[in-house]
Amino acid sequence: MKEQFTAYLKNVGMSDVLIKRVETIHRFYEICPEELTGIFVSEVIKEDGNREYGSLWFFSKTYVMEAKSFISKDDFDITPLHKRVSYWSIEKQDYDFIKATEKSRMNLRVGFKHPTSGDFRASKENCDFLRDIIQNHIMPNMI
Amino acid sequence: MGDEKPKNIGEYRRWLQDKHGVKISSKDEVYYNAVSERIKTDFEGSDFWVRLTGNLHEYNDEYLLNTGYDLLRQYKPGLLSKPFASFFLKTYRKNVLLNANWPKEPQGGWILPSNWYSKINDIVRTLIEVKYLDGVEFLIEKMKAFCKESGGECLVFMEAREEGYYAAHLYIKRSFEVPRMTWDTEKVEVSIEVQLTTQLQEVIRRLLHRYYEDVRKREQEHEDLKWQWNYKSDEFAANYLGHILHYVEGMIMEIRDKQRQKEKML
Repeated sequence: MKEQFTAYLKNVGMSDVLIKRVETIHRFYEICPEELTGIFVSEVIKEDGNREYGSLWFFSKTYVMEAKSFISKDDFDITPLHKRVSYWSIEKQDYDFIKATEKSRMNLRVGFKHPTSGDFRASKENCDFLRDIIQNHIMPNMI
Repeated sequence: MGDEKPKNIGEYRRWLQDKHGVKISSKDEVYYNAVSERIKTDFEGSDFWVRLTGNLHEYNDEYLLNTGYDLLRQYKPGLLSKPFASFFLKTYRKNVLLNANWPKEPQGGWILPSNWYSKINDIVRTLIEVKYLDGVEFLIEKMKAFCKESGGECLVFMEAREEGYYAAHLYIKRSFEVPRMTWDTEKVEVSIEVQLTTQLQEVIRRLLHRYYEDVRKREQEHEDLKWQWNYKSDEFAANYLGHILHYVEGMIMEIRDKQRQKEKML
C-alpha cells in the first residue's frame, strides 16, 4: 500500500491493527485494472469522543470502490466513476473548506448516473481529506 | 486487652501500640501521603505505564476486528493513590478481621509500618472498564503478555465473590525509590493494582460503594440468619444485584455471539 495512504490513515488516528486490515482490503482491490490513487475512510465521532469507522473508499482514475463496514465485513463493490457523477450534496458544520478544526464535520452524498450513490462522512482533520476527494475525484467526474 | 480482637479502628490503634510498640500519629499520615504520591507519580511517568496505556487503542481495535464491537470506553485510565484512612483500614482488616490465625500473625506476617508499603497491594490503583464480559479476559491476556515482554512481574486474580463482586485484579510489581521518614530514600517493592471490570458492573459498584465500605469497617458478624435468606437486609438486594448483573452480561455475550454467527453466514 502506498505510503501516502498509510500516512493518511495514521493522520485520522487509525491504529496499526486497523491499518493492517485496510492493507488486506487494498490488496483485494488490486483486481482493479487501474492504479489506486485515492483513499478515504468514512467515520463519525461517537458520544464517548472516539471515532466509529464506516466504509473504506478507494479511487482510481475511472473507478470508485467501497468496502462497506470494512471492520466487520468483507462487502466490496466497484463502479465506474469517469463522467458518471450526476449529483452531489454537502452538509458541513464548522468547516470553511480550507482548514479543519476539532469541531469540523462534513457529510457528502454523491449520486452516480446509474442508480447508485455513495455517502462519505468526515470529522475533524478528515474533513480536509474529504475536501481533496471532492476536488480530485468527484468534481472532475460531473456529467 | 489480651487476645481479644480490637473491635474498631480506635481499639486497633491501641492494640498496635501495646502489641507492636507502633504509635500511629498524624506524622505517619503525612509520610504515607508523601510515599504514595511519589509511587503514583513515578509509575505514571514510567515507560511501562506510558507504553501500556498507549497500547490500549491497539487492543481495542484488535477486539473490534474480532468481534465487531469496541472493547473500551476510554483509553486514558487515571491512577489513584489510596487515602491513608482506607489504607489503614485495610491493615486492620488483614491483621485482625480476616486473620484466621488470630491471635497469631496472619499468613504472610503482621502488616506494620516497617513493611506495609510492600504488603498492601493497592496503594496505587487504576480501573479499566470494558464494554463486554469477554473483554475482561481479552484485556487480561494482552496485559499479561505486555508485562512478560517488558520483563515485569504480574499476578492476576479473577475475583468472583459471594457478595456479587466480579472483576479481574492484575497486580504489577515494581521497585520504587521512596522517601524515608528522615527524608533520604529507600527502595521498596510495591504492587500497582489494575482493576478490570465491565461498564455495567462498575455502575453497580459505584452505587454500592458505600455499602461495601460499611461492610469492610464492621467485624464479620456471625448472624443466625445468613444474608442469602434475609430478603429484607441490605446485603440481600445489593449482593444479588451483582450476581444478576453478571448473569445478564453472560446472556448479552451469548446473544452477541449468535448475531455475529448469523452475520457471518449471510
